[in-house]
Amino acid sequence: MEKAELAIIGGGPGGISAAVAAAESGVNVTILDENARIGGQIFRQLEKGFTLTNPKAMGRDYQKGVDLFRQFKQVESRINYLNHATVWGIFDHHRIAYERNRKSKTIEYKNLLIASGAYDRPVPFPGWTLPGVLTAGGAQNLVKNQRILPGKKFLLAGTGPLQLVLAHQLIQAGADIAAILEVGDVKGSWLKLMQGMWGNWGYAGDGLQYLQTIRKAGVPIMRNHIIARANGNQNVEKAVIARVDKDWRVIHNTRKSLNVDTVCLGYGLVTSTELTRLAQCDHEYDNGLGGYVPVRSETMETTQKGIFAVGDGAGVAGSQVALAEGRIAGIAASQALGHAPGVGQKKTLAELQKKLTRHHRLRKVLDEISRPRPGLYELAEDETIICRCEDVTFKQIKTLIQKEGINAKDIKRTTRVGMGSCGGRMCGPILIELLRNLGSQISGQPEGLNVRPPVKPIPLGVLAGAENNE
Amino acid sequence: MNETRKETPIFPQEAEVVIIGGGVVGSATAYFLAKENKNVVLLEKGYCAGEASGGNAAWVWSLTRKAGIDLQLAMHSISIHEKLQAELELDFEYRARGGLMIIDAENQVPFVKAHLDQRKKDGHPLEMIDANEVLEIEPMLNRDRILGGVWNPVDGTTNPILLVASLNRESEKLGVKIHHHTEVKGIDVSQGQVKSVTTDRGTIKTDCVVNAAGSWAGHIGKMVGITVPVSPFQMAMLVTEQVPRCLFHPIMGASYMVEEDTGKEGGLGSGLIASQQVSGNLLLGASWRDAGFDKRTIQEEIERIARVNIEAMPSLKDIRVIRSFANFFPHTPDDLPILGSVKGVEGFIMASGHNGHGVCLGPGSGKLVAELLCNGNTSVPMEKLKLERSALSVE
Repeated sequence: MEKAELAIIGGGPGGISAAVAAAESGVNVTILDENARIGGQIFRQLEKGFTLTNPKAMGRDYQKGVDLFRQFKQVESRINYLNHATVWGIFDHHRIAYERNRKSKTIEYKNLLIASGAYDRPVPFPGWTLPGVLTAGGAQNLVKNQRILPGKKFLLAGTGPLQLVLAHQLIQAGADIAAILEVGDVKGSWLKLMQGMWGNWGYAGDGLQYLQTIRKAGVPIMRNHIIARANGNQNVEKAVIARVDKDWRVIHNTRKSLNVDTVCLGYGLVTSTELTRLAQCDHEYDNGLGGYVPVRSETMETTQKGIFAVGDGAGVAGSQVALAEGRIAGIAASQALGHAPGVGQKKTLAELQKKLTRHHRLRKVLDEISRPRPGLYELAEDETIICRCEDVTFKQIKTLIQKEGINAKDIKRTTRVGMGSCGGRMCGPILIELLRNLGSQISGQPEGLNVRPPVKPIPLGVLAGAENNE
Repeated sequence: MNETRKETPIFPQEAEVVIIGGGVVGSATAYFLAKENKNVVLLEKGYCAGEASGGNAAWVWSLTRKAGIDLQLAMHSISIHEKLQAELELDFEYRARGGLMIIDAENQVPFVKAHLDQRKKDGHPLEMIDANEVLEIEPMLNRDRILGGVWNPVDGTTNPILLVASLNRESEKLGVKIHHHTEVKGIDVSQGQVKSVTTDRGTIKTDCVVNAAGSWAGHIGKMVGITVPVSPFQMAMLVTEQVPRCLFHPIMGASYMVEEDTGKEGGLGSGLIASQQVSGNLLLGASWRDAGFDKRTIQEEIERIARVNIEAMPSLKDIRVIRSFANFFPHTPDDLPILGSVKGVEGFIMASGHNGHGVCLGPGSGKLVAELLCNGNTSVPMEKLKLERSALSVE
């Protein structure tokens, strides 16, 4: 069995920044990354065969990524980077099981850091399962990394400044955008908000550039608007949009129809907590975020000793926070493992904490706009599919929710919601919000679904061929 | 604040029968009592079919039942499954297409033969079939390993969660009051007679309680001062993604007949159990171990189950496993359920300890308990199932 002093799951900014900090202190690190190269979603490196002619066009995040990769290079000798590694289980006795090159392997860690990232918040409305409805993240991945424009006439619907980033990228790639819908009640200027999002005044230039692109293309940004329905036979043909009140509830007689073939949904991100849940860390519901996050100490340690969680997987706050948290956790883990702090690391810790505090203050402003309101989960109609894998409808769930004391796990067992291949990643967060909003017969915060390994689909033959733990 | 049940004002004050446990056994008992016009309250600490009844192989299986009372119970219960299939409104996916046991090692043969001899003597003969016949029935099986098999046309699969939902829907129409997320806190016994059941939301006056609490039966037994030798025993399985039909029957490996006792005393036992649900998911098992009330699956179990299934069906290698699950079955020392009244506590009826066969035996057990409570004449004699039997060595 392989061994690692510090095992890191996830090769995005949080994971890499932790790896660099720990390696600098002399810790031997193993990174398990599902991707081909380090960088995660935000610092994703170009696919092979693409070359970069104008690095500036990639935005400020790309530059930050380049800095991180350089730091990584310097301590690479202490880092065992395993790409295409899919973690399928975290077990007692400090063990991680993962699949790589069609083999299941086990690694034993002393400390563990989980930087599993986040994914687009799923929001059910009539027509959301039609081809042509994409997540903002999915669309961004296609445009930015594959150089594919997934449609002709776009509608962007959601909340927060990330929509503007996507709009900028789509326009640059030649897309025609009918409108950008911001469901939140945005008062004041977008520019200020974008600065808040990055938490760094030095980024004003990027925000300005995005807004200019959108304005030049003549794309309207419609505040207090939501997509209520997508219509079409084989593919999206029309989107019904409407004005919303402060609870994001559709206001009567404000519906209108737009001819579009592609809808990008960007209602923020939800944390990937499968791994922290599997590791039995305690979680709490974050109202500002609208989802579960692992409970953590100041040094990013979870309620399980020696297990750290950083970045978007621990509380969606973007790459800058992920970098800072990763570094804090990397230093803390090194100390826990008995390594003397590296040069200047003590000072760094204090600075990083200060930086985080500043980020969180700015994040609050954004949360106030983008925190999911009840109306978001009232768009679904009886026949709207909630669980795509198992075809469970809104009506099936709505009926059950009225039953005495019924909780998410009961509903899962009874309807099969969350039993499909995605392991409840899509419908799980929806189910929690429905329990919160539909007058369920439970008090307090509804608990999430259970996670059982393998957390990602793994071929039976791979599990069968698992090496023996000699 | 953590999740709790909201308080509702309506809670029954009294009942003719209070059933503790909303698994297949408890739900079937409620249904059959309601059909006899009994005023019944069913109490479930979680949600019905939430424990062993909701996570198992979903088989209705008699092929390996031992001659005698064990087989008698299974055959009786299968007849009840058939009746329920005809009379309940909601389809619970009961499909009796026959079950298959495969022999893939020489050492299994004498055990299988002995079993078949016993069955023949008991008047329920089963036939051995050869490797070609086995492969005709289940083409996915590994041609290189199969030595033969046993075919039983009466066995099949069901959907126990739907079965319980279907029973409960009918019971509620007949007036049964079902309370989920309601925990029994105590049972009042006075002068050797059950008087009431106290829950976390009120007390119900009753002179009859049915202990259908499965693995928790011992806990309920303590409330009336008796020892019920039922302990949780874990069984784990894998679930794959949905695939087109490739397995047609429940398949069990004959190694079960050889190594029945592995898994106890700290070890990990395993054997082939495979079937495909109506949904298309494959349910593959199984491993078993003594894990108390822990429902988590361990890495060794997952890998072991995968190996057992790949050895038997190598062509499944690319089908992806989407999760594992484990549940604990109410285990008794002699592998038989504990059914019927209890000496010294009038009105306390046992209906637990089905040893992983609760889905198959549940409807029959419910029917027998209802018969016992209504007129005392049971379709299967229950003497050998009582708590006081010597095999349970309860003082």
